[in-house]
Amino acid sequence: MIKINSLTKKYGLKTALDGIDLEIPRGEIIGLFGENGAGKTTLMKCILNFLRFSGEITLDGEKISHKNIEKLSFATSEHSFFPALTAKGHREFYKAHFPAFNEKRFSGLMEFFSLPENRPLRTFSTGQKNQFEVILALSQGADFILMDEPFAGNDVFNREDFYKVLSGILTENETVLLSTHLIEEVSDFIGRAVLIRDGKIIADKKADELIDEGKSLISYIKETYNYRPDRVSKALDAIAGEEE
Amino acid sequence: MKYKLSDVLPAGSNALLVKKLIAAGYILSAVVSIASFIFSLFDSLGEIYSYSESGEKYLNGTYMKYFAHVRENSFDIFRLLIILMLLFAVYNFISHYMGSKSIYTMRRLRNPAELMTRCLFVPVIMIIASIVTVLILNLVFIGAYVLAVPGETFLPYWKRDIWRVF
Repeated sequence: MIKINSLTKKYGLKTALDGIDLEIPRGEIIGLFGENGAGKTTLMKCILNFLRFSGEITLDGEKISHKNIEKLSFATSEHSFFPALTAKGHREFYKAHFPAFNEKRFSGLMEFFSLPENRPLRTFSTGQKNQFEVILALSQGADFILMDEPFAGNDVFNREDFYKVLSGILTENETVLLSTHLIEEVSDFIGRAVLIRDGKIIADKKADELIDEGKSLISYIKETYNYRPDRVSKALDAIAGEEE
Repeated sequence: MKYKLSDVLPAGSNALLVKKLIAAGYILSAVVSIASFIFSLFDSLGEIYSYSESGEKYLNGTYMKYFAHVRENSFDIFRLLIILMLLFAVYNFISHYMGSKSIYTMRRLRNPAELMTRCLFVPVIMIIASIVTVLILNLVFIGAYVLAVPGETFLPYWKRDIWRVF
């Protein structure tokens, strides 16, 4: 389990994360939602120990360090592969550096996405790069798979297929923490929704609870975020009024 | 266990190209260094000799330049090679931010020294090789100087800065 206690991260005077408390047990698919700049990426980078922070993050009771970091994998829209290395080269690199690397899953996903093995990653299309980024994160053999907007740039068919494959291949010990703006697309796929706003967790709800309450994920998020449906019409009226 | 050059370079580097460039740079540095010293030595020797009308060579009483003066800029090319290796180390590090953030993968490896190894190993080895080569070449140059220069033309302080190679 990843346990986060009083996590605070500041960039100069700006507070990016403000006293976050969160528990991420094994075997869950968690959606992390929030507007741009809410702190989703910062939260993931703190979990991965890429950033300095105050507070405490533990993985199975131990601080995250080089000793246990391989239990975490990361797929990011910034991409973390080696652009000059081929897919085959990545497989060799991951095999050498991540003892739990799942070669079978890697090959299966490469085949599923029809990605070329012998071309450097820099020659891939944006969609292919995203797919490969996710393949690496899923094949590393990590218990906790952190995904930060992994499908930015992929077409809807590709994404839908991927969700299906993902839900089919994950084992009960694997956890996915997925940050995305594609709320409706992932609503059937996630088991828990965590909402973050201005560096604070403002809601944490299981999908089952939403079903019991008869709410959809998108309506729950809009409600929690105090979304004002009349915002657009008011703005348009105001603009039109000014022009008259 | 067999080690490959690609294991000590940033993942995806063209190890063969790096190997060729570095070997070429190293050999070129050695050749330029030796040529530069030979040219400077013969040039300086030319100043201590004169020729009679009959074409006979004789010592004209001029003292030979002291060794460090003759050696002068012979090792500049190695200085350049060392600077290039320092820049190569910086480039190796920056390359983990180019085209993607592969630094994220490097920072998730169990071996915390892997990133630094891949950035620094080749440059550091080449810097050490350059320094050792310079010291060996300096020794060879001293020998050549002692053998080529007539004893009576040695300056009393000919050994000044003899090991000050950089």
